[in-house]
Amino acid sequence: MNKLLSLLLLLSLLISCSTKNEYLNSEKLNLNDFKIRKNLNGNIIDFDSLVMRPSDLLVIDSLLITIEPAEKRLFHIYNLNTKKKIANVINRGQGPNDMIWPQFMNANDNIISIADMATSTIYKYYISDLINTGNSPVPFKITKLSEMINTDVENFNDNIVCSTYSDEFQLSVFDQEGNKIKDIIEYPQSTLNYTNIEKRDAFYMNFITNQSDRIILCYYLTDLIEVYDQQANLYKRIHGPDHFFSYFKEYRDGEISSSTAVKGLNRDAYFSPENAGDEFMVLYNGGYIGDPDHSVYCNKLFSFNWDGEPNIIYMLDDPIFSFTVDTQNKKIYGISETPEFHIVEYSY
Amino acid sequence: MEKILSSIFALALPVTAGYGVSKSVNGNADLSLLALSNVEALANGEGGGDYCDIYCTPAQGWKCTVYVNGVPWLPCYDYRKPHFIVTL
Repeated sequence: MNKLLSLLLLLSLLISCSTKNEYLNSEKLNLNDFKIRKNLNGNIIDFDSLVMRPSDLLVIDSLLITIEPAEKRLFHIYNLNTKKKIANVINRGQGPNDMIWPQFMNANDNIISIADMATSTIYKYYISDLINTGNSPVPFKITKLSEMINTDVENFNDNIVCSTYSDEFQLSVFDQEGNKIKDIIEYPQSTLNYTNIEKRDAFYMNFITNQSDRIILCYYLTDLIEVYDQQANLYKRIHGPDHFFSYFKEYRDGEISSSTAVKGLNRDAYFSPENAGDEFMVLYNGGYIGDPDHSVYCNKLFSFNWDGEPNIIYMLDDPIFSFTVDTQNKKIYGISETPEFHIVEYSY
Repeated sequence: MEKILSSIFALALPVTAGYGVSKSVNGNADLSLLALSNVEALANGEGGGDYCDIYCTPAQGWKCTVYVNGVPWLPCYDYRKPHFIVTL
C-alpha cells in the first residue's frame, strides 16, 4: 500500500512538473519538425599516438587539435592526412604562457583564440606559431577579462562575449582589452522560481555565434535553445523535443552554499553547440541523470539554421560528448570513450 | 595544535576568497584581480580539490561552482552538481 502511494505521489509530481510549467515566449520543438533524419556511421581515427582523455577538439584544415587537461602539455596536434601527431604544446601551469583549464573559442585560417577558463584570460596565436615554434609558443595577444568566466566565451564581431556570474544577466560583453562594456541576455523566464544559485545551475549553458548577427544559447539541463539577434534581443526560444525543465535546490553548509539537482526529475539536454557554417549543430542527450545506465555521451546530433529552424537529425552509431565540424569537407570529429577514448570521424 | 591551525586555515580560506570574488562580481577592479588570483590558485589544485569532491560530482566537460555566502568562490572543472534525494 505504501509502495502504491509512493508511486502515485511520484507520478503526480512528475505529471505536475511536466504539464504545468512553461517558458514564456517559447515555441515547442518536436522531433518530427526536423525535415530529415540521417544515420551516420563513424570511423575511429587510428592516430600513431594514443588519444588520452581529451576535453575539447578543433579542426582547422588538415589539423586536429585536442585539449588534454590531465597531460603536462595541454594541446596535442595531429595531421589528419598522415594520422600522425605533430606537436604537443603549452604547459599546464601558472608560468608565462602556461594555461590551467583551456577551451577553444574560434579559429580562422591563420589565427586561433583559446580561453583559459581558470584565469579568465584569452590567448591569440598564429596557427603557424602553434605548430612550428617548439613546446611553448608565444601568443601575439593576451587579454585578461575583468570578470570571471563562468561556462563559455566566444568572439562576437569586434568584442568578446562570455558567460559570467551575474544574478540578472547570462552574458557580458567585453572589449578587446578585457574591459566590460555591458551585460546582455537575461535568464529564461518560466513558471518556475529559482534562487540565484539555483538559476545559474538550472540554466547551465554553452553558446555559439555566427560571428555577425546571431547568438545561440543551448542549455544543458533543460531542452531549451534560444536565438538572439545582434542587439541581443530574443529572436526565438525553442523548447523541446522532450519539453522538460531543470529542478535544483539550494542548500547551505556553514558559509558554503551550493545546489543539487533534484534526483529523478533532471535530464541532460543540449551539449556542445558548434558553428557549422550556414547552420549550427548541437548534441542532444535527453537521458535522466540518475539512471544507472545514463551517459553524457550522445547519439543524436541536431542541426538548425541560424534562425533556429530545425534541419536534420543525425543518429550517431558511436556516441560523442564534444565535437568539431570541418564544413569544407563535410566532416564531424567527435570525442568518444567506448571502449577507450578515441576520436571518431563522421561524414555528413 | 596542528589540527586547530588546520581548522582555522580551512575556515579562513573560503571566507577570504569568497570576499574577493564577491567584490569582483560587484565590479571592483582591484579586488577582482585578488579574486581571480584566488581562483587561479584553487583551480590549479591548491586546496580546491577536496571541496570539489564534497560539493560536486566528477563529470567530464562540466564545471561546478561552489559558493561562499552566496557568491562564486571555487570553480571545479570536470565536475557537475550532484543529484541528491531532496524534496521540492
